[in-house]
Amino acid sequence: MNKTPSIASSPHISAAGSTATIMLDVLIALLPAFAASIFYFGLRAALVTGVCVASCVGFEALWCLLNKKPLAIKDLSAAVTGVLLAFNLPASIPLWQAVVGSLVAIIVIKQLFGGIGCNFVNPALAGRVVMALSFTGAMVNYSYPLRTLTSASLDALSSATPLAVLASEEGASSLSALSLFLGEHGGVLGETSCAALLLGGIYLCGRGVIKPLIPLCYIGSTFIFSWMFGNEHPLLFILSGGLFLGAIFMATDYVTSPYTAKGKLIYALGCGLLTALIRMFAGSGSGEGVSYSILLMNLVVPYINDLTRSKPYGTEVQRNEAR
Amino acid sequence: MRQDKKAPAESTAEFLRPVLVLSAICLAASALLGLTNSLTAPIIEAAELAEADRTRRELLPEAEEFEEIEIELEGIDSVYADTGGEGYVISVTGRGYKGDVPVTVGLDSEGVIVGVSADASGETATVGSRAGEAAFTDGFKGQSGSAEVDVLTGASVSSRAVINAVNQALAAYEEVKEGSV
Amino acid sequence: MKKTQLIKNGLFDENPVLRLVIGTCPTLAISTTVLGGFGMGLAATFVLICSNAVISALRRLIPDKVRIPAYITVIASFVTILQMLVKAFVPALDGMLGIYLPLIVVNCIILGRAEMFASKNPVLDSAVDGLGMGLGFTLALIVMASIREIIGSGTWLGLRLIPEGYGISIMTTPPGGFFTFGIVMALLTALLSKRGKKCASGAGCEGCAARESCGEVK
Repeated sequence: MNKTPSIASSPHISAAGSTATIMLDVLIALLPAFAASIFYFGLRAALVTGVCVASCVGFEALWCLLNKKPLAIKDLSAAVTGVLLAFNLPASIPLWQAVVGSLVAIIVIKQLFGGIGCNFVNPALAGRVVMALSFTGAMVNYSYPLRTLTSASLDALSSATPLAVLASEEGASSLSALSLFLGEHGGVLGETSCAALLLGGIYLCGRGVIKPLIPLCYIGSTFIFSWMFGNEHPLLFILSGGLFLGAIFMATDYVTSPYTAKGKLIYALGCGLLTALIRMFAGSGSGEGVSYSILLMNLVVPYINDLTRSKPYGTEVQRNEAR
Repeated sequence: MRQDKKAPAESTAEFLRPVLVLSAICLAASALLGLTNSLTAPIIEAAELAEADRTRRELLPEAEEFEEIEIELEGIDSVYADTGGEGYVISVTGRGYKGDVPVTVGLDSEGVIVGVSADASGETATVGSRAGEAAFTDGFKGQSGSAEVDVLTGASVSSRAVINAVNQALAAYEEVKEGSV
Repeated sequence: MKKTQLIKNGLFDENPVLRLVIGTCPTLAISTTVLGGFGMGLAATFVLICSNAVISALRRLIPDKVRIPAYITVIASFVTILQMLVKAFVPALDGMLGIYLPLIVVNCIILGRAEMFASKNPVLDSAVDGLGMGLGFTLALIVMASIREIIGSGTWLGLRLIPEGYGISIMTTPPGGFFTFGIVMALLTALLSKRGKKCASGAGCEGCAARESCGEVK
């Protein structure tokens, strides 16, 4: 018994997981949505996804090589960023633009600020927003389904995305909740099929990678807030646009969401409120509120963490400056 | 506390000196500014008039001389009539997606549009800004009474702003036509 | 101080925008095109030379209590004269700069140099310092504007370098401006530290690049 006792802080239970296994679970969870995107939008969806993953992994490897750091790509986080970024793009996006988006997401948002664990906002979402500002025309060139599972006619589906239809004169008469749920409508690659995304979400909860608190509260609060603000079809509202993708895969990112359950609740409510506000009141051009609301809440997370810090038993909470 | 021991005369001088210096600087500055202004003001005015005339002439090339008509209509910036009877040039400011979209319409003596120039540079680049390009504005040529062109895909707000502005100009023409001798 | 040393100072070691971090507002606003940046730089240089010279000439006459109002009056007069001359003879520049031409009055570089240098140094030195700082400002503007114009619009000085439709338009908007600013500042700091210039990174007087010419540090 000559070994020096090792000193560590709690928790003292270790599990077999690592960053790589968690990221692998996320990739598996995204497979149904990937399959749906190919089913609805054709093989180009696979090409865009492949290009995004390759460029994200490539840029991260390049960065690590140039800075003489150990290769970080083994933890698969760059691959996940690549897939999530691709799911925010329409199938027709020029591939060079997808590469630029990957560059911004990996190099600017993630590596320049310190690498994994140090990004201050979700890299894939920030990449999407930068692309939306830089390549506006190409980013709003939404894709429309090539085939359907139900009897809905393709022509009727291809005039406008559901959010645009809901905001227009004819309202909800031409939309069916089942169609929206299955993903038979226009939009970007990964956001359309709520069913596929939900499957992935259930898998992740089952594996313990995410807790259902944030997705349920986010989607639920968007439903309630939009109904409170006067929306007549809250169910169709939450099934449209990128809400499911954002709520299940982006808002739950460990680095950019709060630690405690109370914090997570506040965060999810905030996201829901902002999404409802932006979608309902911010004019015809801003349509998709999910990206901006998650990014805005990401910025506020350090303060949420500070205010909802869990107290060790018997002590007073020390208020520090939020880092 | 040394100030208390100063003689009264000194503190008056201390008080007066900054005032005098500042006044002297301001006087010198004003003189210099006045001089420069008298030299440049006529040049500036002439240049501004020539510039405004040039843009009007681009829309109505055969015009002799432009004369402004006083008109009180909402949204209309100015109405210029050609003294030679060739037509009118009307400037309107439309409300676009991101801000104002100044539109100038050239009409011949019958109220038929001969040219439209729109400045949509403040709208979303490559999307709404296309409403200011000739490919879009040329579609108005030859129309009269009430104008309509196909809205640009993805740029409906900016396109509508230009279309509405052109129609406002046409309405102003109706007013002017009736009022003029 | 040697005159060439003053110029080099303004261009690199104490570059107002990239090292002293003053005058950043017009830098971010006007650096979307190289022509606009060049024009702004020239205009500011003119004002800098004139105001530095005049303030230096009057430095023993202006009482300490009213030095700021006196400096501002002098600077504002020169800017107004410049504005009138530009409107009369180069109206295209007036269109490019817009409101940023009269805003040169509150450009920190001009008031800053008047306070830090012209009020303590002879006329010729001050005028040369004004020239150096103005050139440094122009250099920073041209570098930033080149990056933003080439990547954002695909042109340089209006000449098309990249085919249309391949521009990354966020570079010509404010977020792109801030990003370019950070990158260029980092590059200059890296360059200067490689050449052996001590780049202290502390906050306060220790890390300020203007330590040498500042009147506050004893």
